Amino acid sequence: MGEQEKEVYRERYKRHWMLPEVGEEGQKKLEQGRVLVVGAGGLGSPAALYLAAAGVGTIGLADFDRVDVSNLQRQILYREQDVGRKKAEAAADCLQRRNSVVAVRIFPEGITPGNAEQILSEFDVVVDATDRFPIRYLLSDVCRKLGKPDVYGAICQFAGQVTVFAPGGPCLRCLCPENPDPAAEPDGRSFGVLGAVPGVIGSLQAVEALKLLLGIGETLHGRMLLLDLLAMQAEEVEIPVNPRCRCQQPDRG
Amino acid sequence: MQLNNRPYKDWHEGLTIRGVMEHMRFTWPKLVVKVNGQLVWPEDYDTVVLNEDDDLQIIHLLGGG
Repeated sequence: MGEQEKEVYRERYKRHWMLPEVGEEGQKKLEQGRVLVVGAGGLGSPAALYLAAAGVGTIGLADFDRVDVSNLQRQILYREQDVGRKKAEAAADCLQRRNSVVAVRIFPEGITPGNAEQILSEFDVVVDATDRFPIRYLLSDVCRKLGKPDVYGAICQFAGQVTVFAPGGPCLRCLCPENPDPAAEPDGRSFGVLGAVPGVIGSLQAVEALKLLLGIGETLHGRMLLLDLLAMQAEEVEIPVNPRCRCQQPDRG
Repeated sequence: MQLNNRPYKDWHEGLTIRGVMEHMRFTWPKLVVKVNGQLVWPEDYDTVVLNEDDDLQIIHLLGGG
């Protein structure tokens, strides 16, 4: 980096540098950080945008879907002219426009049981911004196996939930076992949602991912934040490790 | 008995978690249940009997994104 580029760099992240918890060292950690955002929709949009703006060095975007006109009400990565495009590609363009230095890796086939382990192993933190349970369990299981933190966010109508599943703490299965019939799991796409609600929850996921990269503060590890944005009330529940959970069996991941 | 931080008026001897769910019509297929802060798994909903001074929390686990 030349002197002039250094100056621009310092200026760009000045407000990070001013934070004693971040500073020049922290900004370097972000620059070296690799975060995978799974699901480039309502939650993934603000999460990925804030990660890119923060200067996270590598951002992975996994989504198999295409942009639909009904997404524009809340999925702020996309513009009207993106309708019909692959989400991963349109989202990558958006992030590169925001921050040209960030390396964006796209996985337009999405995360599947066949590719999950290989893809997740290339990242430090996973942001679960998906909209259905089978993939959420897959991410939780693979993160557990690889020892990676999984930043869980979910929404419905006016409500949202955020937590961090990480080594030494509970996994998603500790909180609630998977339905033996995945088709019986509730479908996260069949209800209304106020557009700004995933904006709040996805932003909280970005905050947690950044804290994990920086190694600062108290994350939602072992507790879940429940937000009712219609009543504007917040609650927190502790999530213990479930000794009967399969993550606690020595031979299971 | 308390349900989600509000008094639950229909407590009776032998009331189970399943009994509360049916009475309150909790039909969401993904629930997180805590009795006095302790997590209870779905396989125990029929057998855990609630005491009059128990604090029951039933949370809808959300999955949308």
